[in-house]
Amino acid sequence: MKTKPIRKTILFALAMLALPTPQLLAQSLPAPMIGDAEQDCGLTLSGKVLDHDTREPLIGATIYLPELDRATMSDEYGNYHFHQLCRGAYTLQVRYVGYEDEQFAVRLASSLTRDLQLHADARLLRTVEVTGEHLREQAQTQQSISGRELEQTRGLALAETLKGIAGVTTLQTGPTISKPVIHGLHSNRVLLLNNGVRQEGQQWGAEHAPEIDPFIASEMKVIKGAAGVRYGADAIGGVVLVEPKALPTTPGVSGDVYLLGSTNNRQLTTSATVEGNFEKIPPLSWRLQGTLRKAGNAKTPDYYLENTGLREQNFSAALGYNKETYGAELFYSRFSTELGVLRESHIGSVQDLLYAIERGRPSKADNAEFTYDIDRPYQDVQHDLFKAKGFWQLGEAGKLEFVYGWQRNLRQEYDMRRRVSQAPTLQLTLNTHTTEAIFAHKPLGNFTGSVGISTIYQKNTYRYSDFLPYFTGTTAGIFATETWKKNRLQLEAGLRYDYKHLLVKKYEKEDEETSGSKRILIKPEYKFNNLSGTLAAMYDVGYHLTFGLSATSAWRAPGANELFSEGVHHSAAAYEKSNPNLRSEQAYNLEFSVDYFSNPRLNGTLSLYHNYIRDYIYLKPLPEPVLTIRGAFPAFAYTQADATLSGVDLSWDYKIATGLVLDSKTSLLYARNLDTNDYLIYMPANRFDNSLRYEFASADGSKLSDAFVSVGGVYVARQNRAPEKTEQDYAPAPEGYFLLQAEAGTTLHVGKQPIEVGITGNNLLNTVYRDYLNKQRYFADELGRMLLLRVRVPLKF
Amino acid sequence: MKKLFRPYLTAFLLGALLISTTSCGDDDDPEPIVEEENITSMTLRLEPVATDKGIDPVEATFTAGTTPALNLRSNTQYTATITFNDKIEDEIREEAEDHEIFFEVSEDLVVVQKIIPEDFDSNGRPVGLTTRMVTGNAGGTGDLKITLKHQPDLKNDESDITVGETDVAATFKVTIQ
Repeated sequence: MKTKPIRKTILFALAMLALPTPQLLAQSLPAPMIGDAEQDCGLTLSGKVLDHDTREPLIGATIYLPELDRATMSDEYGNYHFHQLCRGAYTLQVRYVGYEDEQFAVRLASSLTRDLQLHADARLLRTVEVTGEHLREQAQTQQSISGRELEQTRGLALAETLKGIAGVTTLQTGPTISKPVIHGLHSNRVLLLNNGVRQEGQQWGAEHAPEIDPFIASEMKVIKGAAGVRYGADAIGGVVLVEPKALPTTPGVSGDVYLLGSTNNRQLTTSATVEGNFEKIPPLSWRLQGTLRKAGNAKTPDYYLENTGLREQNFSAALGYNKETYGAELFYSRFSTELGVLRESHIGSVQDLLYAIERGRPSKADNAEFTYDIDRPYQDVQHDLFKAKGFWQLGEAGKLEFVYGWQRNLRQEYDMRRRVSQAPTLQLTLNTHTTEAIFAHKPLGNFTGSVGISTIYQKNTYRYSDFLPYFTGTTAGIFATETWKKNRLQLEAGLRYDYKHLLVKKYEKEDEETSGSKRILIKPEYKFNNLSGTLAAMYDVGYHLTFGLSATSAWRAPGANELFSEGVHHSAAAYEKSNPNLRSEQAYNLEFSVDYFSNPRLNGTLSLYHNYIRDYIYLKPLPEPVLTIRGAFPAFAYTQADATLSGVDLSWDYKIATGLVLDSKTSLLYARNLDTNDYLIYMPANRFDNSLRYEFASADGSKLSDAFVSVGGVYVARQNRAPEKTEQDYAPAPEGYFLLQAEAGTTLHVGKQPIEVGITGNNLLNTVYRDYLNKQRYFADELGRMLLLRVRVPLKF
Repeated sequence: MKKLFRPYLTAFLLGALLISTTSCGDDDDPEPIVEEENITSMTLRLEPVATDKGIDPVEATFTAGTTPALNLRSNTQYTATITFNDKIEDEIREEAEDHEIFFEVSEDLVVVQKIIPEDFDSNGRPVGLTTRMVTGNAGGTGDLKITLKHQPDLKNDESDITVGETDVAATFKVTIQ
């Protein structure tokens, strides 16, 4: 209570400062006559300045009449007055800190009362609010996770973190391996940008998780739908941008330490960041970061999952030298992980798979115990990234940015073997060099935009197994985008051309009848090129309502795996036949979206999308099985068909009362194969995620702040839209399920030291369920109850 | 200012392309992979227990995609021995506790008995490399399915064909004469 008048005074003083002084002086000037014959110059214009949403009076707002060059200020009740006005048309220009400048037209015939409602400035709000709100920059839907929302996902794998965004799900291989799925598309069709560099790992495999430490990110953005123009070929399904926060610009050393622990798989994670800026050399700043993560066998409600532990060691270092007109940044990171794969899921034949499905649980379910040990089968993956970036502010012309990235992905898979050997069964090494140069021109009239070129050079080699051949890929692209903005309308257009050259080196069996098992080296060569485009419009209706319409396209050249890998996929119990004659996929994406944002009660985003993919590459079942020594395997061949993926993403939140917010997300997807007139296989089911959050008001000087509790649940429907005409699946889609989740967190203040603590509970009812998009659903249930404890200590040295 | 940056701009745009073109000089070719531990064939040899009746031993070799024929004498006891290419049976014998061979066949046709003591592993469980087969009456025909399972830590008194990993799944066409 005591603080309120003080606050008002401060606001008043601030507003005084903000008021341009010449206007104050102008107040006493005599009023000129407005072109009207009848003279009546004793009129009064008065009213209140209000917040549009809360209807609270705004104290100290500046109201300016340009016609008379007179100004006034609202008083402590929000009232304003202009006296001695003549009849005529006037403009009221209102200005207030934290609100958008607004103009009101008034026709004065007699004395008038007119309330002026101001809209909170979304740009300013964004810097204040920790989570949720966003300012739309482009017509295509782009959603992000940052701040507290991101903090709550600490300790989860990258793909799991992104599940908080409507339309994003995961494709899993057991509890350790997950990858993001955007609008039903994943792997090669979703681009990941790790700190501005296109992530190039072995992303083609369904059981290959992205090699990125989520702890380096302070924001994760997801662009849903084709985004080929800016990010290059392959971005058919969408783009995930993993962005670290900017290097510090104020002198001093600071950092933070995370400690995490969980029940169930007894995960232990610690991550630490130290960063600083030199007082003597202000442009120079640095950051060191590292993460250690370890988990043991995960547990379903009834049994442990054998060999599902993981170990992860990551570190990164960044050095930046930034001046106003130029700057450079070096970044290096190493991600290394060992991921256990459920022992039960390594099977020898289709018959084994059918036995496993019939059994309904792993054969060692009753004997499996908790351990941190990881045994075969497991994956050992190491990813190095080096990045160099520079920018120049080219005077009046614009800004030039250059990024070079080198990546090395070393992937070793240790499958079950009958003979004892330390060697992996498969080793792939992928070296990638990427460059990008972008020139963003200074705004020209209503236009802003950029042009750029980018190149990718990569080389893949193998050892122990030639499942994926040697290949050398060279890609070059050139693009331009322009945005035209006037008043409430924004129009965007972009075009890109990419050229890709692929040289494959592979041993192939000669005609078996003539040469037996002798193999010869073949070197097929491929050239792909295509255009990507964007056309989009965004209209700001006002009242915090924006409409967006976008038509985007992207293409993807077939991957080396789709062209040339052949053999039994043990985890999938399938024989996969590649197809060297595949063409490029081309996606056309249409999206309509409505954004209602920065409102006090209801906020939300609705997005309707339709994605048409020409020559979509997928595995089509072949009528004849392939006979091997282990038995008959169903055979699948890489085939192309036209496909459509349409859906709805809806996310909204509603403030029920002070501190109490209902948060809701819905993702619906309908995917068809137009050639077979059937559904597409392995598409995410409809998903509904709702939660109720209560934020406690924190008193000043209290030992606790930012306390909240939230309870919610996610309901995933059964996937009824699985292919019917061709039996592609060994087991029907599992039943739908509901998971109860709860969270709580607060910041403790121990002396001057804040300590953030949080607890997240997943699957609190210990529900037994299986998910359609988990490749191990044939073998075992999903995880049971898990509590995740989280402590973050921000440090100032 | 503009003049100063023009060289930088050109240099970097060119550099972007250069990096990709210069690193293209890769002439190394892959070495062919020697696949070591593949089982490619399974041989089943049946020798009559009674050597004095003039019954010939029978042998057939299974490879992927084939269904070899076994023509057996009716109402006869055979000792059946399984071998593989590259003497893989020796490895199986070494890891006998982790392997078992299962036989699926109509009892009217052949009765398979895993009762040979030297075939047992250290836990007293049969492996199936050597078995006794007793044939039924003449005129019968049918399939004999033989499955080699790798059952690390899974082989016990209750384990059956449904657990573990299949290494070989062979089918022979049996005709009783």
